Parts: sequence; structure tokens; C-alpha cells
Amino acid sequence: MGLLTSGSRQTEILGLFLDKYHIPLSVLCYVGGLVWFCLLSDPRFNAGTYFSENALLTGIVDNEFSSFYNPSQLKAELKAEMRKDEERKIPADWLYNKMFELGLDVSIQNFSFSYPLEPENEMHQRNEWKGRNVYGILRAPKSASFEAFVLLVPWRGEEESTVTSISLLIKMADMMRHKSYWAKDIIFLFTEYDSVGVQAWLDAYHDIRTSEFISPSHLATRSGSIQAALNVEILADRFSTINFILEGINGQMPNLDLLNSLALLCKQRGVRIALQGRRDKKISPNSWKYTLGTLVRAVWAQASGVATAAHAPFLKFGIPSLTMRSQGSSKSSSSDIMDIGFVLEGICRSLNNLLERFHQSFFFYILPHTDRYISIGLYMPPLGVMSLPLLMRALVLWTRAKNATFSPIVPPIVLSIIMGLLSLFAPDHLVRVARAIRLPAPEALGWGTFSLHMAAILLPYMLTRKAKNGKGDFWDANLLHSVALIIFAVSTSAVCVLNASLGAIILVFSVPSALLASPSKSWIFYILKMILLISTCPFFILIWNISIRGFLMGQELSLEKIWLQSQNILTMGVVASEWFGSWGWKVVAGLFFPLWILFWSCLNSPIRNEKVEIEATKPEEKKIN
Amino acid sequence: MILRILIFYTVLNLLHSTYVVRDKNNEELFIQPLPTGHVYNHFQFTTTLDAELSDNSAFQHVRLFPKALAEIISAYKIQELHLSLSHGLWRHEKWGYPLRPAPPGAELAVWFEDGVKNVDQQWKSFRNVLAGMFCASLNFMDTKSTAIPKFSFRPYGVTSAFYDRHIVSQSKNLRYSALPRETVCTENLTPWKKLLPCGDKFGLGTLLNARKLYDSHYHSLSVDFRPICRNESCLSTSLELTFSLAVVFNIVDHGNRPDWSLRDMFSHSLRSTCPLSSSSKLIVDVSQNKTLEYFFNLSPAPSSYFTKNIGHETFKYAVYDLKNHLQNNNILNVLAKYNRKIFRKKTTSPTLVVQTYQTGYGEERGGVTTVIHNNGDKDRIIVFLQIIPWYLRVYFHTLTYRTYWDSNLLGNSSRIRPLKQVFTPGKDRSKVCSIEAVLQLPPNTITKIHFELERVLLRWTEYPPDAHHGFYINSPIITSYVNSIEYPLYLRRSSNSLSETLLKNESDFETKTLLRIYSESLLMILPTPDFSMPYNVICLACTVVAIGFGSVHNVTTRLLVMVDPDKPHTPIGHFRHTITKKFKEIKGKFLAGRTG
Repeated sequence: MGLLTSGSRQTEILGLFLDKYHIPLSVLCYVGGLVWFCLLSDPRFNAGTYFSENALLTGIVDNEFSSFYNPSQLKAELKAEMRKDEERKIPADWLYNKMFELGLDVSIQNFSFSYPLEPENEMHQRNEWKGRNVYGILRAPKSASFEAFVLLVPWRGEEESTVTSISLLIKMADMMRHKSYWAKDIIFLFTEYDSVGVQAWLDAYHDIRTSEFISPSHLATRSGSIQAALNVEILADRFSTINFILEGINGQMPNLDLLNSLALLCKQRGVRIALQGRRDKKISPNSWKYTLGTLVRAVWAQASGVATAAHAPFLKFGIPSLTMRSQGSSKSSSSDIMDIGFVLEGICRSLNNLLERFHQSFFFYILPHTDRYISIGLYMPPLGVMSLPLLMRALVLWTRAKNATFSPIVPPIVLSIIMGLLSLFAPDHLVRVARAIRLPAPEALGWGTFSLHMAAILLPYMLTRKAKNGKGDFWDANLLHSVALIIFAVSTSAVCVLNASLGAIILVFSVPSALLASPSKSWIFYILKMILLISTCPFFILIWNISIRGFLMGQELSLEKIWLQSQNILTMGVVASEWFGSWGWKVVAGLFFPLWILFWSCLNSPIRNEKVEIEATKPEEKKIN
Repeated sequence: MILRILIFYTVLNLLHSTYVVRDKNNEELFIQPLPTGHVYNHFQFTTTLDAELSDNSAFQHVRLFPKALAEIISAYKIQELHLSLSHGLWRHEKWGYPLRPAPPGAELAVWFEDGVKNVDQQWKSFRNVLAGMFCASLNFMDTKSTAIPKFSFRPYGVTSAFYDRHIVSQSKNLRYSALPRETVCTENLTPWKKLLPCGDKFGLGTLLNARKLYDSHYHSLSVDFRPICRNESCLSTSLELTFSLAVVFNIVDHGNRPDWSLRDMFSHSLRSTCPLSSSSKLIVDVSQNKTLEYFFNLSPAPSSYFTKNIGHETFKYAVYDLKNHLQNNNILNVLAKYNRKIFRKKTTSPTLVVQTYQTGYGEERGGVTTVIHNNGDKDRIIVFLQIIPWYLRVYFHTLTYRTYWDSNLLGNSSRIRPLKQVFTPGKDRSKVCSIEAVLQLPPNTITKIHFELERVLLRWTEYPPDAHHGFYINSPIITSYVNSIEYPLYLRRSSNSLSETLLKNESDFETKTLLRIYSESLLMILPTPDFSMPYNVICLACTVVAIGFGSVHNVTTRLLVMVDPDKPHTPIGHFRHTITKKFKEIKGKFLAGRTG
């Protein structure tokens, strides 16, 4: 407190200055930070992507993939195999035999998983789903299985089927096994149940259990440390664009070099590429609308922190990985499956060239365009500027609450922590209770969260019940607000470092309401502040999120739809945290919900009567006398 | 005249006695088509020298024994030498066990003679000499990577009584080290070839075409030196030097039928034999031709066939006596032609299968697991050896041996206690950690050996070039005695050539033979700073700030006080000061009393 409590002249001036001008300064910082962040999408404010890793040597090898390896016949065979099974399970034996014939080391892994929100039965067991992963390892002649990289296709026995990419990968294996230049083993992995299967395989590969709800079986064959992974989801023979999906669990990103080399290879073959489902446009001064739109979508996607595609579990194990998914399918589309064959061959050769694992380029970045990137050095300053008002306000309030005592602010803090813990451990109990009254789990979660928020809203009224009589020792609103702001500032900056997009969203939504959460004498202001604060509670942010996303996608919105969607998102958050270790749900339930309760308590602090205050101080004076 | 003739004969006799042929050489090539469509070729060049190791003059006159090796063997008092340089991994679960097992990279095991005083010093000089001789980085086998295993290695040849004493104490003359990162290439092959009696000019050596050898799936060259019995009675010893080279080609890729020939594999046919070797043989394993649906025909026809029965198994070898085949400037291109396209079937796993992998993720902790399948139906005693570099700190308390009965490693399992266990902890920057355990594996089980470790953040100068490539861990070594039926390609300890081992009927198929399996070496990531420009700038800036800030801070904040050097400033000093003061006072009083 040296700065503001030691009575030197200079610091006093600073204190006075802040006291006087912090409101316009705060507005300036918040708006300025937001505008700055949005401006980063403009090519004049960000940088062009480039190759950091020289060893990749992307796109300079002669392609050996040819029409001889056209997978169409194999695809027909696989489709026939798929139709044999009513349940459309993965044709593991067929895949096994195909790869075995090519001389790969093939193995089938069984795994089972259960649904985290399903309560245990009397036997303490949950319903289990069983899946199978099939993988084949092409042994590299040039090394002793020290390193490997993975080509992955999740099996989907539905309309948007991945049979095309599965047959392509088998054909690629057929071509690759003839070459003697491979220095890294190549693992062809076909999983069931998308990310869950991938997670089960990775758990078994590293011989650990990361989730109690996914139990993988032992892997019979293995290779060395995995250097990179590529999820290839080509859904049709001809397609218009390849969409790159990068975001992993908790906003982890693959190394930028991996994307750069794939983008370059696609461009060489004339394959059109896309990010966030938006096809690349040529950069021009007028393209700010396009890049800003992509940036906003990238921030949304990264902030969610759940598995966006099947490559996501790889990132958790420190393996750079991304998903290539085809978009649009018609006979007249520009690109076909053979182009992907060439791209895959190119990237495999590049990965094979790697001497060290990916470490050069960037791991922290946001992409507004496949050619432009915003690195951590660029996006952190606006976020810092945006969180500056929190600290200024906290300092000002701290100086104002000079004579307040600490002990009265303990009850609201403790209570809010208890509420946070309740919401953190609620899902399990809610589901158990819901089972008794035959309520489905998502609905139980929705209502449970809703009622927790209601309880939180009522909490300060219960605490301050006695204040109206002027009795008891109550917290100083300024002190509580200041403490809450400091905790908020610290936690948002921590989140910003780990998942910048989540931090950005929290800052944008919560900074104004956090700043304005001080009690107000005028009831109009009080009502306005109340509306603002309630509309930025975690639950409502979720609803805004759904509405905005729906608006961006051009969906029709109704209250019922939003309610159902928010139930689903809550469920997804819990499931993602139990299956994949995503901490989005935990951070919101255990950190930002209690913080919101603190701000809500600030707003509803008892306003001290001057009289009461004087009376309360009098007895002390007597004692001193 | 008679005198002259007498003198002539005496001189002739003398000459004859000094130049008596004491060393002989064999060259052999063994070819075995593997069930996966690969072809395994094993070249072996064996030189034996009839001399005692203890005899100082043994190496003074050598004919075929390479002089360069002879000199260092006698100079450094080597009892046994086993060196291998390999690239790739021998996939024993599919290919069975090789004639000469070797781990990926370089491996060197040396026994020094009884009576060598300073073994470590000898080892240091020896590996440096050998490094120069084979152009390999053997000089990196310093104390940081050298171990002295107690049970895994025993002398392979005839030994003096010294080595038969206490089994553990005799290991003090052994030095073992392996470098998994070592890459093997022509620079190693060329000096190796030069040590052969005929080099690559004549005989089987002409097939050693570097371009083809390094375009293979597995390649290993090795040098083994040991004393052996000269005859059955074993009253005197000979010295045996074996050069072997193994190479596995992937034949499937060259066509639909896995046909192979010498010309395909080595790019030319055989034109000559080495005139210096007493026998030149080419042996082809034709055991798999038992089935009628899938077989190959050899052309030209071999000189003879040899059928060997071990228990209920039959092994059949086609033998080409090259000295006969290559008379009159003939050319030999052994060609195997199959009756149909590649026919893949699941290979049956050999009796012991080992697999090693790392567990966990992240750069702070990790683990290493070795899984040993005992497919036999009897208990089996094995010796497990794992050498871990010092920068991976092993947590001894996490070392567990667990046996599973289920192939999925689920269900019932029990911890087993090793019969013997030696754990030598590593020491930072000076000593490797080694784990050696003798285990009894129950029949038809899988045993999992697991331990956890911590990854050390090294000093920034200790990272090798390409620091982000990772760091290697040596292959774990499993040593066991198995029946000859479980390991048909073993090399008999008493014999000194391939044909003596392979082309000889077993009297007793229960003969125990030594089996050594090298599992996977691992590549592990250590916490590594990114040695990029910003990192270097940060390092430099921090140093400058630390130096600048430190001195300025010191000058500005330290209070400079005058100190009387006579005054004590430690508690002991105070104590001494008061005592001496008291003593002086008493002395003064005493003196004053006397004068007074």
C-alpha cells in the first residue's frame, strides 16, 4: 500500500488524480481496448504467416502419388462392408485385413466409456458404450521407431460419412510402404465415437487414465513419441473447400507451422481453404469485414474450450494436430480426393523431414485469415488495457475505504465461495435428485443452475436483513468492491494467459458491470445497475452467447429454443470437463460465479446512515477517553 | 655336399616352424526369408588364431588376423570384445531371434584381462582408439554412459579361473555402454570391410555394397573377439575374431511375388571366393518350404541339403559350397522364385517378446514401461537390465514388477518379487543409473516392469545441437536361457562358424542356449528452452541487468561502517576475547602482585 498510504506529496497527487478522472479514463481504456482488439483483424495491424522451421521444406518434393492409387474402388468396397452392419459400427476386421495385407503392424483396441451425467445404478455401475479403434503402423526403415506421426480418420457410419478419407488413407499407406525414405513411423488410426475414441487411444498409448469415464484397453503394438497428428475428414469425392479446424480443449492451438505448411500445399494444388467455415478471400483494404468476422468466430470457438473436432485430444498431450474437413459437395466442385492425396503426401514428407519436434513457430495466436496471424504479443496489450479500469477503480475504492474494517467483508466472501463450491459439485447431485423425479439430466442441470442463480440473487438480501434496523456491523461497500475487483482482475488476467479468447469474452461482458457494481442512492440507477449485473451473470452470458451465435448463423430464435440450447451447452461443459479435462465449466462455476455474487453483494450493500455511523463510533471514543 | 643338403633342410625346417599356419578364416552367408516378406542376410567372417591370450608373442606374427585389432587387443589386455553398430530395430516379435542380436545405435561390451589394474583408465583409452578405428562416436561412452552390469553379461568365450570365482565380483573387469543415437553409415562400413582378410575385393565381401546395405529395413555390423577351446579336450585355447553383418531387405516392395536374388539384394552376383579363407559357404534356410501352397525354388540347385531335427521341429538348409560353385570363373546368382503372390499370415510370436514404451505426458515427469510376454509353458528366469542416463532421475519407490494373466493387461495381476535386484542410482553429471533384476516369469503371462522418472532441466550448455529432438534411453536388455528349439538360430558357444552351428544335429534338443533380446530404445523430451533469438536476448538482457543492478544496488544500499580488526565479530571470537581479556587481567594482577 506504499503508493497510496504513505503520505508523500507525489502519491497524494496521483491518488487525487485517479479519484477525479478514473471514470473517463476507465471508459477510454475499455472502449479503446475493445476497438484495438477488433482492429487487430485488419491486415495493417497484424502480421503475415511465415515458416519458422526450415527443416519442413514444404512443397519442394516431387509427388509420387498418382491416379494408380485412386481410392474409388476401395471406397465402394468399404461402403458395401458398412451396409452389412445394421448398427453401422466400425468395420474393424475389414480395416484390419486391408492394412495387414499391406504389411502394416495392425492392432485393434477396445474401449468403453460412460456418460458422466448418468447416475450410477444400485451396483455402482453406469451404462457403458463399447467402441473399437483400428490402427496400423507403417514401420520406418530409417529409424528404430523413435518417432511417429498420426493420420487419423474418425469413423462415422452416417450420412456425412468418412469412408472417402478412410479409403484414401489406406491407398496412401499402399503407396508409402514402397518408399525407403521414411524416418518416422506412420500410424494410420481409425477411431469410433470421434474424440472419445481418440482420447481412449491416446490414453492407452501413454498408458495413463485421464478420465474415469473412458476406459481403454492395452495397445498391442506401439511406436515412439508422436510428433504430429492430422485428422482428415473428407466427406465427399468432390468438394469446394477444405476447412481447417485448429482449436483444441481449453483453447490449445497447434503449432502455426503445421497450418502454414498445409495451407501452402493446398494452394499449390489449387485447393480452396477456409477458416471457421469461411472461405479465404483475397486480402484488400476492404476486406476488414471478412477478417473481423473470422476473428470474432475464432474467439468464440477458442473460448468454448471444448473439443471442436477429433484432433483436440492430441493437443492435450502436447502433439500438434489439426483437422481438415471438406465443405460443400457437388459434382462441379473444383477439388477432388486426389488433390488431398497430394496434399497428404506433401505434409507427410515435410513431417518426415523434421529433425526436432515442432517448437519454432507460434503456439499462442488467433487467426483472422489463413495468411495473417495475431500473435500473443499483439493481442495481449489490448486485453491488458481492457482490464486496466478494474485496477484503477479498485485503487480508488481502496483509498475511499481507508477507515473500514476487514472482518465484516468476510461473510459475503465465504458465502460466495460456498456457493461456488456448490455449483462446482452440483451436477452430480442434481442428476441423482433428478433421477428420482424422472427429469432428464440436461433439464436438471438447467433448472439447477437457474435455481443456484436465484439463490445467489437472494443472498445479499438475506445477509443485510438486519441492516435496515441499523443494528450490527456491516461491510463497507467500497472495501468489498475493491477486493472483488482485485480478485476479478487477477483471475481474468490468469485466464487471458491460458485461453486468451475466453479472457477476452469475460472482459468484454463483465468489465462494465463489475465497475458499476457499487451501491447507488438513486433508485433509478440502482434498477439500471441491477439489470446490467443480472444480464451479465454467467448464466445470462451463456444465453447471450447462444443468441449471438444463432444470430451470426442466421437461425430463428425463440425462448424455448434458447432454453434448450443453454441446457445442452451446460451439459456439454460438464461432459467435456469429465471426458477431456476441459476446465471451462470449472472456471465459470468455481471462480466467476462466486465473483459475480460478490459484485451483486456490493450492489446490494446496506448504505450506511451517517447517524448510525456516528453512533457506532461513539462508544469507542468513550473508551479511549 | 651332404653337409650343404643338411644345412638346406635345417633352414627349410626352421622356416617351416616359424611360418606354420596358425590362423584360418571362414566366410559364410546365411539367407533366411522372413514370414513378413523380408529377407534376412547374415554375413559372417571368422578368423581363428591358434595362440594363448596370455602369450605376449601371440600377435607378433599374424597372417589373417587384422594387425590393427591385434595390436590394440594385446596393448589394452582385452579378454573379450563385443562391438555392434546397427541401424533400425530387429522386430523379434515378427522375425524371430537373430543370429547376433544388437540394439539400435552403437553398443560396446569389453572384458579386460585378469590383473588389469586400472580398468577405467584402460577403458577410456581403448574406446578412444576403437572410435578412431571404426569412425564411430565411441569416445562418448564416458562414465556418464558406462555401466557395469552384474548379471546380464558373462564372458562368452573360454575364461581363466579368475572369472569363475564370485559371480558378482568378476564383473569388475567388464565395461558396458551403448549409444542409441549413433547413426551407422558407410564411414563405419568402410573401415570394417578393410579388416576382412580379402576386404571387398574377393569373396562374399564383394556383396557388401553400401548403397544397397543402407537402403534396408535393418542393418547391423559387429565385431566379436573371444578366446575359444582349440579342440575338444580344451587344454589350449585359440583366439576367435568374428565379423558379422546382418541386413534385412524388404522384398515385397519389388513386385507381387516376393522373389529375391543376390543380384536384386546386393546389385551384383557373386564372382569369386576369398582365396585366403579355408571355406566359403552360402546357406539358405528353406524350412518354410514345408507347405505345398506357398514355397520357393532355388536356382541354381544347391550343393547339398541339410535337414536338422530339434524336438518335433524340422529345419532344412540348402548349402552352396562356393569354392565348388565358383570354379572356372563361374558366376553365382542365387535366385529364389515363389510359386504365388505374397501370402501373409499371422506370425506366431516367439517364446519371449519384449516391448518398451514411455508413459505419461508433459515435460516434468514420465515413466518407462517394459512388457515381457512369456509365451512358453514353463517358468522362465530372465535378467532385466535397463540403463538410464543421469538426466532422467528414476524414482526407485515406483519400480514395480507386475504379472498379468490376461493378454489385455486387465483383470488378475500380482506383484512379483525379483529373485535378485541391483539398483545403482545415477549421479548428476557423472554416473548412469542402472536397474538390473533377475525375475521368474510364470508361464503364459505378461509381466510389466514400470518405473517413474523425473526429467531434469539441464544447464544451457549441456543441451546437444538440435536440443528439441529429444534424448535417448538405451534399449532394455532381456537375457535368458532358452531351449534350442525356441531359438533355432543360436550360435553355439563351442563352435566358431555358422555351418558348425546350423549344419549339425542336436543330440539333445533341450540344450540351453543364451538368448538376448534388445527392446526399443526410447526418445524422450526433456524440458528444453527454445534456443531462439528472443530466448538468447532475454538471457543476455537478464545477465546484463543482474550484473548492473546487483552492483548498483550493492553500492547504494550497503551501509559502510568502520570495523576495528582487533575487535571480535563472531560469537566464538567474543568468547575467546573475553577469556583472553580475563586471562590478561589475572596475569596483570599476578604480575602487579609480584612487582608489588
